[in-house]
Amino acid sequence: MNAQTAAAIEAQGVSHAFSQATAPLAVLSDVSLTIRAGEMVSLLGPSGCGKSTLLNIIGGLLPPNAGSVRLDGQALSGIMPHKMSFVFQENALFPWNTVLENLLVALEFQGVPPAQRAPRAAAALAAVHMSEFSGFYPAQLSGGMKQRVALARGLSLQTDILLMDEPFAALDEQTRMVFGEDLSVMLAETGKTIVMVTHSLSEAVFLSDRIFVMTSRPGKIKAVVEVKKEHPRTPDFVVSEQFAAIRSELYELLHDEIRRSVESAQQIPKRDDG
Amino acid sequence: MAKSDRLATRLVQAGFFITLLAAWTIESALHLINPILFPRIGDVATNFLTVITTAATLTDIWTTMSTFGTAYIIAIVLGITVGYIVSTSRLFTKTYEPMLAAFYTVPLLIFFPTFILFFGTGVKSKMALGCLAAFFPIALNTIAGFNSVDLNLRTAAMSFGASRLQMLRRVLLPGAFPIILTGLRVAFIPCFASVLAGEIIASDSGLGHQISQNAQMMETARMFAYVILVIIIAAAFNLLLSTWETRRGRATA
Amino acid sequence: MSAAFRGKYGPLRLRILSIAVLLAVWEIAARWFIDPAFASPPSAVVAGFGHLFADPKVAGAVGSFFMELAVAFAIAVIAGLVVGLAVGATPFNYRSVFPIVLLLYAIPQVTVLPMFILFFGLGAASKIAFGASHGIFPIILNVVAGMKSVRPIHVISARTMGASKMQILRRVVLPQLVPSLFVGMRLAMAVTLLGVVLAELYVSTTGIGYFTQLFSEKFDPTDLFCLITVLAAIAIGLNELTRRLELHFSRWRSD
Repeated sequence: MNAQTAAAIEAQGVSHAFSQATAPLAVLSDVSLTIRAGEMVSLLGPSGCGKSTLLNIIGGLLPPNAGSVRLDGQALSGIMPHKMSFVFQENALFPWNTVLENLLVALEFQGVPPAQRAPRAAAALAAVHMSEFSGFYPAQLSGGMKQRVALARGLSLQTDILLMDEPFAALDEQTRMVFGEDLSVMLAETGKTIVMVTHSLSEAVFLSDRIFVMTSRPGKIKAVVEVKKEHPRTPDFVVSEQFAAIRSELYELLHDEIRRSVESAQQIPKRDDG
Repeated sequence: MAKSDRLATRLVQAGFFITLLAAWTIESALHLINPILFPRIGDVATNFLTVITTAATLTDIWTTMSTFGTAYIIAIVLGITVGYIVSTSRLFTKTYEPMLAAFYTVPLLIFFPTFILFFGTGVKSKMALGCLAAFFPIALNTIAGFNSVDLNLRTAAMSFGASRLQMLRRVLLPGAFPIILTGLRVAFIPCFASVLAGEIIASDSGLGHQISQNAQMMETARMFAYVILVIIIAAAFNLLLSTWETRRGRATA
Repeated sequence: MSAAFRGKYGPLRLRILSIAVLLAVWEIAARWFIDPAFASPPSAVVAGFGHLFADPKVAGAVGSFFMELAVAFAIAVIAGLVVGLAVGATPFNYRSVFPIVLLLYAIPQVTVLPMFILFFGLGAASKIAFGASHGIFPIILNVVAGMKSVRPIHVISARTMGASKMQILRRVVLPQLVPSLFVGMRLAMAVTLLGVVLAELYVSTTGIGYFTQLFSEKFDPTDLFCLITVLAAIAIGLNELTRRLELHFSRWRSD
């Protein structure tokens, strides 16, 4: 909860294109941004603007064609499982493991000593209120519950940085609201740096300290919008004037980009890990 | 798949066959293996030419094919009839469909000795075996096919006053047709293979009989020739089935 | 439909009734209508079990059959697993080798049975080899399918958490293979059984083939019917066993 001004993540001139049979598809063009430690930022933009790709690059999953990413001043050369953890959409949980086993195996991957795995897993599940479901299989859980488990998995790894790729996308409206509120509370308590990819304006405003608005493909940072409001944010923030003002600002920025991306609908590969 | 990839895979596949043929040719030239155990490539080639140019071979082909064909057709009639009857009631379906499915897992070949007992070593015993092998997939698929016809369609037809026969012709059969057809396709190869197996085990005519007899007489090169002939016929069947399937797939897609 | 067959146990009752009717028809027909040289009634078949299997040679033949089946199955599973893993390991392997596997699969294997006997002789080896050559295909096909069904998101997710290649294999790939492997094993059991039976019946000098031939030549087919019933029961039993194993290991699958 220290309002650090030190840069945790710094991207400089990042460009990336996917090779295809016909012609390379440029998805990011000269993106530069700085994310401070302890802040929560959203990458907001229309479909296909490269925001997930940018997240993967920041996370070290994908080396960019051009540009660089620095983490705490050090150049990023690959994944850093001790510094950053990912939360993908719900289907990233292992269906053949129970909720608890999913967390235990994640800790095993990270290299946590066996004795510490169970307590950390238990603590993370408690933090998301999923302790009673430890023995359940993902198939037995609802979408919202699965996302909470995915979040717990990310939390249990105790990394400073959490990268979330459209974590709400598969949830219904009501579950989203609840999940968003819980997340806001958690942010206030843990002080992690969180980078979230989303295409929902409301989510971005509710959760973020800053929002990077991206253009349609090839994505650039069009604008950076600040949300000056402390965490935890309560439901009444959603109906406040501040919220509405920021939301309209985002809408103005995004409207043309969204139209452009819908009209040029071309499928890009969702993930490319080289 | 990139062009270079496609080329590489084709090379590996071609290489596989070329290596096999080359190895066989070398082995034949160097007389490495006892020819009774594994014949020379040259002998097989000459025998093959003899086999396909002899009139007697046609009789054998005809025997095998007609046995197979008859078995298959009888199985179609029996299978669809039984399948339809079972599908007419939920109770019947729940009762008999699992029984048929369970019985299908038994290697039907074990009943072949009883067929020989009933019919002797002539074509009828092979026909019975082939028919049995084809019956199960056809019956099971017929049950599934008729049961898959949307209840709404049936209700609509009934509300228009359709008779049982009309229902069958206009609603059930067209609706069930794709699944039944799959059953016919699935039954094809097992039927053929069963007839062949019967001919190999106990027969006095047919391609299988030729294979078996030549083996027993240690005429391995000639046996190989017949095996190759059967493989060619089976490959032709497979090709037929898959082109038919692709064409149907394109039509219904 | 008669009220007797309503409810949860209706199908079961109808099944029992149908089997009873079938057995009754068989009994009556075999006793009074069909030449006793061609058919034996169920009562005689049941009565004949004890006497037939008291003969050590017959029991021995069935015992050998079991042994051949077990060994053939084991070889099919192990070899199939190895080949399947190799073929599914990389897209290149898959695209180049898999079509060859499919091609071999399309050949009616019965045509090469005499060849197997020539190579491996009249003993157990040829039956094991022939059975294994049948069983290996469903295993390969299903292992390859299992490997293809591994979802990239799971592998990526594991990577982001710091998993090594070995850990990914153990914790992500292998668990997804288990259900596919057991589906393959169910199918492999059925076809290995077929292969071994086929080989046994072909070789009429020893084993089950010898006895089916012998019993066919007797005037009373009771022993033949007994033997066939036992084989059928073994087949149904083994299939049920592998089916249950498959269900058990596929619990977490939603598809």
